[in-house]
Amino acid sequence: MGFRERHSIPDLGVGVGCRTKHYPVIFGEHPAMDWFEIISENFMVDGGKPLSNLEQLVASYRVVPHGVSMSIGTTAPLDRGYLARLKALLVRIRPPWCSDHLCWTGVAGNDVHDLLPLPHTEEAIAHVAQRIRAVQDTLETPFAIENVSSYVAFQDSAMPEWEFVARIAEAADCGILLDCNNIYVSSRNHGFDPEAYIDGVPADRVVQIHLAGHTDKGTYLLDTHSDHVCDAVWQLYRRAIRRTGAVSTLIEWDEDIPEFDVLAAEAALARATREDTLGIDREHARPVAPPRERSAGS
Amino acid sequence: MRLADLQSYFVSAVQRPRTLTGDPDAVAKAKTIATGNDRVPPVGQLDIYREQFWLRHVGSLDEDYPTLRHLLGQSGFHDLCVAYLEAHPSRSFLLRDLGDKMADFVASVAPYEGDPLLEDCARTEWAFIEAFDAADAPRFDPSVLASIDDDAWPLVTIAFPPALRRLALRYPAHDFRTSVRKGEDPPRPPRRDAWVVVFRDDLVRYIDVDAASFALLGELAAGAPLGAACERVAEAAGGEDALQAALPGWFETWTRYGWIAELRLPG
Repeated sequence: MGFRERHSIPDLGVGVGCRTKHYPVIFGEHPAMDWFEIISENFMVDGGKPLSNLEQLVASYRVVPHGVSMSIGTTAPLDRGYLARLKALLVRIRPPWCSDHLCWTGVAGNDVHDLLPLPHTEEAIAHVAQRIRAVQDTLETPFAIENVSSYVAFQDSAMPEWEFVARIAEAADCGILLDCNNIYVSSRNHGFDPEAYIDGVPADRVVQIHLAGHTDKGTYLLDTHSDHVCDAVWQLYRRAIRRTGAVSTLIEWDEDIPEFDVLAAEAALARATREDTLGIDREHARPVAPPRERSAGS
Repeated sequence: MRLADLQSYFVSAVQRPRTLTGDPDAVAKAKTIATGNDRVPPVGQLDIYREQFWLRHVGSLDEDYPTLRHLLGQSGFHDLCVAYLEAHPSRSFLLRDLGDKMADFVASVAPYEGDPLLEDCARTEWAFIEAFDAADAPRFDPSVLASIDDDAWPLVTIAFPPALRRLALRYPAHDFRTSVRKGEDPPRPPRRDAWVVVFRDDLVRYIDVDAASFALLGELAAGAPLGAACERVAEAAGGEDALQAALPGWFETWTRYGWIAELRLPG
């Protein structure tokens, strides 16, 4: 039985990242949207508007938290204070899964607030896998790691990134948040085959897919989430869902954030792409668990 | 290279304020860490992260401290951020906490310590940040005030909401902040003492209070019973009679703005 099936991970459809700029539309007009992803840390606070807004959001939509600061790959000890706050957030919204990045953000006492890549080594696999297991034990919620964009390739790396991701996910028994834009950005930066990456990831562990835009800086691509999804990333998305079947998909847009209807249109495009792709190639679409019944008030 | 060693070096490299490409030692070290490619050399790959570090951190401080940027100018503010981040690298997983030592920094480090307006602005900005997401307090029922016996009042202690912040300022940095955040181009304000309470109802707001009321709030916030607190601030209020005359109005203000979380009686 695959990871999604074992954990009854639902296909939530296509959602978008929830950003404060869109609160007036989301709370004022209640637009149709399959689900929202929130940045966990924005709501790991003591009180005030962030938590009352979250309460309002959760009352109307499916919400899944996505972190940027767990630093699962750091050699510093796990931040138990961070995990306690994240756990409190999970208790508050009871999501079907939660996620963070396969990266590190700093060393003890010095956080650089970036999604820094890891060398693809046996040491890193063992280190990260045991930490993910500890995180899952604490959070008691299915946990997924997201592949990051990278601008550096390490001398020490001994395997391609997809093998690194797959090995960690298998060793930790966790889910994967497959970011197709990150795969594309890194493939262009490091010269690997993005399709081989898609094909190398264990499909049954993919609980969610990210789609986003990026910026061409001339000598490299930068993952800015500041534009529409490009054609090459749509192609990777189609290839990915042919392998995974219908999994929850999310449009990210974090810089030069457009009006909500632009974001919603991008989500609609993802929805149509998903339906077209799985419609013309249904034999490869694997069944996924139906959406969980929502409990009252959630 | 051990993962711990790689991470330690990587962090030190990305926090350097100037490009790594001009440093032969950094160029040599980068070759042992990164592969580079036909477009970006190994040191250039690390430099991408260094550039992003400074963009992100200065950007975050810029968002939190626009009054400092307004006073110092873009270049001066960048210099402040570099000096501040070298002294106080982020120790929190929240970028929200990045500037938590800014007020003490500008109050104590040259060339900023000579200008108290910088400290006042930094304290004001930080008060708003703290008030924004401080823990919620239960709604206080004003009818409780009427239920307290006259002779019990001196023993009453008051708990204030976690979002309440008191600012004793030498410049009207709070009004200056409002103007800067509206996108105006206010001149440097003249010196004027101000006692300000920052609080949160639906939004984070502030009002000016008089010095005696401010002092009483401080005594009460420190845990003093009302009677003892009044004795300590009576002189500043113009004497005991003046204080007694002012108290009902102050309590009315405090309850109206939700500054009282709880009244406690001994026993």
